[in-house]
Amino acid sequence: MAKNDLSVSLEKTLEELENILSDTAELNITRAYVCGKAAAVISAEGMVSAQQVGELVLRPLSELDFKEGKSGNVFDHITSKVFLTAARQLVYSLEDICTLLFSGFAVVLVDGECRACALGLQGFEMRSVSAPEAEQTVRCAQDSFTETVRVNMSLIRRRLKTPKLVMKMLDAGTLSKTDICILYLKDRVPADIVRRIKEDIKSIRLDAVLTSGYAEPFVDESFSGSVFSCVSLTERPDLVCTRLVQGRVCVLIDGTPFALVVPSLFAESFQTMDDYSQKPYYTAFIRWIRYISFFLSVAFPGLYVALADHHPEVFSLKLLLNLSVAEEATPYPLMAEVVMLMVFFEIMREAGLRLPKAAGSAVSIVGGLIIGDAAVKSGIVSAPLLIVVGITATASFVTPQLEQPAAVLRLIFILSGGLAGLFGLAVCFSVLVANVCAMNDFSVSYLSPAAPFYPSGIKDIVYMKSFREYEKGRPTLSDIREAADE
Amino acid sequence: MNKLSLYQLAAVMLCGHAFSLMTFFPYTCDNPAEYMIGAAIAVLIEGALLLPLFFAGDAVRQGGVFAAAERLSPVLRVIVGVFYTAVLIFFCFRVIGNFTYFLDGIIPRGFMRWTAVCGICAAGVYLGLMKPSVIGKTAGVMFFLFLVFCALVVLCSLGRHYTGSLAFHLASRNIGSGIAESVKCELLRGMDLVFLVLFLPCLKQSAAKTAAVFLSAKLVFVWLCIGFVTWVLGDYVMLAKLPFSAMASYSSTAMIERFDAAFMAVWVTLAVVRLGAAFHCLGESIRAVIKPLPKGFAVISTAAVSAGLALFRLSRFEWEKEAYDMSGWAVSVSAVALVPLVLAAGRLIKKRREHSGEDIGAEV
Repeated sequence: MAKNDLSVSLEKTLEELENILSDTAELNITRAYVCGKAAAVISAEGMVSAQQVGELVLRPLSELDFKEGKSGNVFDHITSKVFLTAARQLVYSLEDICTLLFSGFAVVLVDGECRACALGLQGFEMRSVSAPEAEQTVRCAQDSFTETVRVNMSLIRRRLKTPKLVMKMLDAGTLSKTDICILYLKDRVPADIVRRIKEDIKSIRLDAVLTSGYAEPFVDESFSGSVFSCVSLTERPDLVCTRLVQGRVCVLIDGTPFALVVPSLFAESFQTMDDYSQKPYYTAFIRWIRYISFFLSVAFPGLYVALADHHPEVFSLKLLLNLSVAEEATPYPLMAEVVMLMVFFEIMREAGLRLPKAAGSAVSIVGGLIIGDAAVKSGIVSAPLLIVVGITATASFVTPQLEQPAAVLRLIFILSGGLAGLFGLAVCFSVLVANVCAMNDFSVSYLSPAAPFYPSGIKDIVYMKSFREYEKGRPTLSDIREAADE
Repeated sequence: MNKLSLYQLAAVMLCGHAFSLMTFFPYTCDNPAEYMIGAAIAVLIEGALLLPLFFAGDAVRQGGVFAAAERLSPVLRVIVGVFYTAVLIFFCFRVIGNFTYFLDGIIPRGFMRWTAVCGICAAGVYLGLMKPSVIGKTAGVMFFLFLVFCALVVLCSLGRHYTGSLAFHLASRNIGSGIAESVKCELLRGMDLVFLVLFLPCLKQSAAKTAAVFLSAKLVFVWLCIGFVTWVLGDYVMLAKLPFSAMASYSSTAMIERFDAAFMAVWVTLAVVRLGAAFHCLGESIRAVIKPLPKGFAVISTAAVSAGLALFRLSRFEWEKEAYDMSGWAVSVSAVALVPLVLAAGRLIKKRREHSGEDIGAEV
């Protein structure tokens, strides 16, 4: 809380304000006389709607006919009866005035008053709500979060009209003063989780919090301890609502169109909103496809290198002969070939991401068709290997939530499989399982409900329960914690 | 988070037992039926061996065997610490050595033994540095995968069995000696019960219930494994150095010619769990002797000692003798029963002394 340092003299206050803001060009100061008192309406250019300032503040002020001479009454009168804005608050410090000015408020100062009235007249440019790009669905809502936290809050509130939905506003970043909203359903989330997340957000001592990635390390306990994360990101308001109902806490950060969901489980990376719009048998089938895809995206190239290099007896004779012929024709060791191709794939993916969409597809064509084809024809890589890398790349797109850990693990498995065969893979796998088992943010195991085993929750992993079953109650975070305690 | 559930601890012990069962069969028994009978007797003996632990249960639960020993005498804590350190170094020495020695038969040529030792110990140390609940969860996942693998191998070898149930013949040169050897072998494998003693303070449920679950699951598991391997391999089972590996190599599908490489991978994961749990306990034991030792240093140093000893013995090509030496069963028995027995007795004596002291006080 800033100290009360507003002067009773309007001129002095304006001078101090200009000093603090170093005569910034965006400051608009409109002077006026209200019932014989000097007043000023201050706003930041581009942050407020000029039309609204004119209609809701300046016009009522100019039309004011107020007889009483005491300045206190003038201020009270205009703040309570004259201004036609819904959002208004009294301010007592220069620091708060600055913060509010750059959050889209207009500030009214009256001479003889050591307080000001801030009026919410936001009029800055913002992107409108559009269809999600990273988490597309076929039969679900087609809206996604934008960069404005208030808009995002409304997208969630529209779906959950219960008074139990709590939205707590905090700010972070010593310079950016970024608005951060913590959302949870009061009766679903254990109090200690909410308390800890609030403390984590308050503990951020960064100069600026510009995207969700700035806040994530403060909320995620296992951020630097594992390739996986106990915090997931989503741009879908409907998914956020689903998680809130399941007893999670969501964090919206102004300036980023993604919400953080805390804590997140490994199994949830394989769930999409479309799962709940299809028949359970089909959802179960698709989920198993996703599990297989994740396995392929992580382990397939490593497994191929390990088997082909160290355990060729595993392949059936015909396949072994084909592979052998193909590999004989290439000049490099198999492991080097796979590493080369996987790195090339990552380069292509990165190029496709950073370039405009039209150029991105050109990169895929050049990379996938021309270079791939040429590499096989020139004998640099073998055709079976190209198939392996192709399947791996395609499979990695099925679970976008796990794309980053999959990319790193894939490389580790290729190296371990190439150097020590299945022995190396098994050792790496054991370490990975131990690492994932150790993830226990907010006393919730990342592998729940599989480890520790929670029979009611496991059904939602192996197959999807129908909504008739959910009527009896959906397992919440508290249920998972209780099951782990037993 | 530090607490282990009954099933997690059972999974840790079952992983360890599965590892040793997958590793080798004793040559000393004439047929698998003898071994199955021996396993049942061994389970009964193990149950009896655990009785002192149940008597000393409350004392051990509050802080573990080392704290219980310290309550009796600080010197006793050091003695118990040294005892368990020695037992667990011997345990790890055997696991690492057996693993590396039998790996030679599965892994392609050119794979150095020291590489295998370093790889498995590094993974074991990583797991050993984790909390008990993490070790338990990892064991649960690994044991589940192991069961899935077993089911797969069983399905894939269904059409390839040689002799069927005829292999369960009871012909034996000396049934008594065969069963006795099997009991010894199972008791040696039962060294994993030491985890029940050392993880007891972290256990959510009672030790008796955990032991009952583990021992019954173990017996069913041993019978199923041996029964099936015998069914598939017939009499050949007694000649194979690694019968489970041999069975995996007989299994095949249209896509996979043989499963022995996959068997090796699963076997490695079981070894990691067994070593991880052992290294964790080893770290705790050495810290009971030298109290201010950091956990990381305690685990890494003791793991290095066990690995170094095993590697030394392996490098001299003397492991064959070690692998088939069954005398270690006595160590196993004493590790499970001796210390809890001493603690239970000590507690009883201390109570009696206190009572007699109170009586004298009352008389005065």
